[in-house]
Amino acid sequence: MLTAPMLPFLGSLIVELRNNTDLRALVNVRVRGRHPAPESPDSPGSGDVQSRGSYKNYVVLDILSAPPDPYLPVTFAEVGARCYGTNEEVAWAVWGALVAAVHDTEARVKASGLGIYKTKAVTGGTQENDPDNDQPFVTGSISVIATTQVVT
Amino acid sequence: MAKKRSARVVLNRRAVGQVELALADGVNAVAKAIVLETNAPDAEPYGEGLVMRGGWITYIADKKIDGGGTDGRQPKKPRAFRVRGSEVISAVAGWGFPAGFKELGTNKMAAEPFFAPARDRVIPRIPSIMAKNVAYRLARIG
Repeated sequence: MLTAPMLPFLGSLIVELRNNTDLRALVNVRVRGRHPAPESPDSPGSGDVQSRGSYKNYVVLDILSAPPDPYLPVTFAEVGARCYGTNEEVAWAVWGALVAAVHDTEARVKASGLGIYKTKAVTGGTQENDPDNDQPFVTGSISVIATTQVVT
Repeated sequence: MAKKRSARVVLNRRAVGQVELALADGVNAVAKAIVLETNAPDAEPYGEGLVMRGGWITYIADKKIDGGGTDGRQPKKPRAFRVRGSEVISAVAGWGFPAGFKELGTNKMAAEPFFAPARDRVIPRIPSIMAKNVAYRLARIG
């Protein structure tokens, strides 16, 4: 059924979220895949992860699972999201903006040919503190239904 | 070895209809299968690890009818698992702290999903798991 390698979708999702007005107002372009942005040795304080008093708002997305459907060239994937804020209220606001950006969206086809049929926030809203720097964050997961092959 | 069901669970099971109980047993078997399918990171033999305890519990409405854990103990009902006023069969499966941090990651530790992949491996087997457990209970109704 698959005639080409399975298309990646996380990059497209990150670009969509960076372009979302409400989310951008909170995190700027700090929507990351897999890891927060590291600190640059030439620029102290440039990294996403900071100590108390210097927290930044940002989002980190991780693919939790992306199995190909056994019958159709699509994947019913799940993406984990961590929404960090300068305090608990801002972290929640970041989560809220993320949910508004991804929940029950309409189908779209990217320039690469990737089709995203729908995204939905399926779990989440759990408020926690990061064990490494005690920064408040909200976790959740996003269901992504995307094509595994180019849509023509 | 798993402990016997508590008296409350035994009474709850006798108080519900047999067909409903059959379906709930099927749902419970699915929840159990997900937990048992999970290969928690750092679990033995790869290391001592911290994510050690997995568990599942099943309710019919607000009555607990089954549950269990990988350590043989009954897990506590998570606070977010609301059953009061419910009229459906519901089950929850998961692993204890710090499984959430392992699954979704932290500032310094990338996500190591172990529960979502296990869930996805069990999903295609749900019809057979349900059929086997529901049929067993229905056969005993006579």
